[in-house]
Amino acid sequence: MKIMRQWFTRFYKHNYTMKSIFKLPISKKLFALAILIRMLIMPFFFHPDIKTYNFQSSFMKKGVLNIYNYLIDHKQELPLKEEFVYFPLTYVFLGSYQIIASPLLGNDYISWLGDASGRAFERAGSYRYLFILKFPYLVFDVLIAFLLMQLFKKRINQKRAFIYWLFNPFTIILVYIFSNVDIIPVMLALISLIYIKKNNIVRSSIALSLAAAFKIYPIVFLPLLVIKQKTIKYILIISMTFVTLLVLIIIPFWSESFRLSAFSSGLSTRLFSSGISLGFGEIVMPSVIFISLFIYVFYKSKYEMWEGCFVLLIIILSLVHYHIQWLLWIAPFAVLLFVRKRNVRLLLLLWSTIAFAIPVLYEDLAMSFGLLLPFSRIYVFSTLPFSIVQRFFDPYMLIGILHSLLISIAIMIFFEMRIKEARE
Amino acid sequence: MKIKLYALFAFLFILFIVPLVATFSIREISFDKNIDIIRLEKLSGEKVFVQNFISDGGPISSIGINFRNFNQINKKDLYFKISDQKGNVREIFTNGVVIKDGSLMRFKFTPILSSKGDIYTVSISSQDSTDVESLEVGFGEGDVFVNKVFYRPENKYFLMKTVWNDFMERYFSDAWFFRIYTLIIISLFVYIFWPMKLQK
Repeated sequence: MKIMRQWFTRFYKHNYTMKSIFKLPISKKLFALAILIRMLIMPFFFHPDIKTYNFQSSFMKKGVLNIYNYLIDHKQELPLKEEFVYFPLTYVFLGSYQIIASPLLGNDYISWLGDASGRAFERAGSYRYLFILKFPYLVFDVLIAFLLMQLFKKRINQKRAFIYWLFNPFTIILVYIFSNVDIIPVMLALISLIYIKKNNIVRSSIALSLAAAFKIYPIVFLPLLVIKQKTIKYILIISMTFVTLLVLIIIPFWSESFRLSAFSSGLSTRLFSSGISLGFGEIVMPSVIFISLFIYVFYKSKYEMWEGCFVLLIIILSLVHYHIQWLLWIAPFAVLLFVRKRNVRLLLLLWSTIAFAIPVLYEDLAMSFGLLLPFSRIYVFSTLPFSIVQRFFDPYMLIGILHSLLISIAIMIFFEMRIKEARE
Repeated sequence: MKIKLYALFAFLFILFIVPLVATFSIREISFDKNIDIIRLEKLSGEKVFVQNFISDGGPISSIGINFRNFNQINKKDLYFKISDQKGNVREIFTNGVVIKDGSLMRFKFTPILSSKGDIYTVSISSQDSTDVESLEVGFGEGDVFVNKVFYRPENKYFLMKTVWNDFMERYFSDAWFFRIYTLIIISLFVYIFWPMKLQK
């Protein structure tokens, strides 16, 4: 406790006590309600990703350190054949947590993880596994609520941020229904932001590097962090700290399998997959155009760091074929914007709703009724929202229209953010 | 207190009402487990594959069979027939063009009412196909090639009851989880709502 207090004291550069850091801005009963809501959802909703990455992380208990090589080498004999697409700390964290929680998980847990028959939920213990596996998310989720408060001075704004984070349905769905492990890098990215606010760029860079060691997406914030520095010395310090720590974490896992699994999936490929053809095989990429353009605008203007992170993510998410879980990346920044800028609230809600609606329309049961499989297996036979829409309209066209709207609303939000309003 | 109630009802709605309402998206169900394909047999010429089965659900609405059609090379006619002891009940003419390689091909037809407990015979043939470009049919143990029989649910109440029963069965099946989880949830409920003072 003493060490934690010292750490927090250094973190905030004030003589804060644990009590003051975790002082609730709302009543204890309301806070308990936020916990209750989450606990009611945790065991009963399922997205296949939680089973996949926990299955892969379960090999840590057997002494497997380099999961990337192991999964490629044993692909034929493993029941789940996906590659591990996260960065190493996700594997280390989940593997360690499973070792600690193994007395609660029980003996049948490993067999349940490897059950690829589609009937794993008919086994006793399924609800227990989902509850225990999602429990760390609850801790990080609540920590984010407390961290968000640190970005405001006024008590009323702290309270708003706390309530908006804990009671908005979007993050609850993303974290507990879609079982989103990205909550860990999201929290670390937020810590990095707090350090920037406190002008401690080295620690900010360390937090960002740790976040990237869980999932690579926070690397997109690095250019924003670097270009706001006034001297070459600071630029070098930030870059070197970030790169050195990330490389040190990656080195034990580095292999051809790691390169293929971790770098050839998700954001790193989708960011460059959309393009407008110029002919002769040459394309221009809208995501690269808008990201580089915004970095220039960010450099020239007086944007705050969190605003920069928000705009960068809204550009990326609007321009790529995103996974619904990626929406969590933008959530803390969206809450900050929601508190600070009243004029964008409606647009932000509209953007979030459309961003949620698009993946539901994919031809993928896991994005809609498949989430209800822990209730009953009969949801396997559900008609997909895609097929329901197909009876009246071309679903691909609908997705295209919604995605176009997403881009236009993102531009509207960008312009609205520039309108001056009384700030904190 | 009103905010608490609204929030709680909203999430109870998600937890209990949504799963029940979601049953409206279910048009067909099947009680069969996937058969493990142990061999593939070519369907060509005069060859006819025949299998009997007993209907154990409501109106039969479709039947799923596993096909291999490498590179979708087969583009010949395929004849599907389902009959009972009195004669043909439903028949479908289709073509290899629509059969994807390695897929479960579902032969959909107008539901056969009052089929529960009756014996039916499924037969498939493709007379124009030759061995070179034939479709291959997946067989499980015991010369079974009908992978799944789909039924139209008798009514929505039946589906809701199934969801509720499955949920209850799973919830009570793990005694450890049931005790601890229920205790946590009830404790939180009591802490939050007791004593409850509703504003006028």
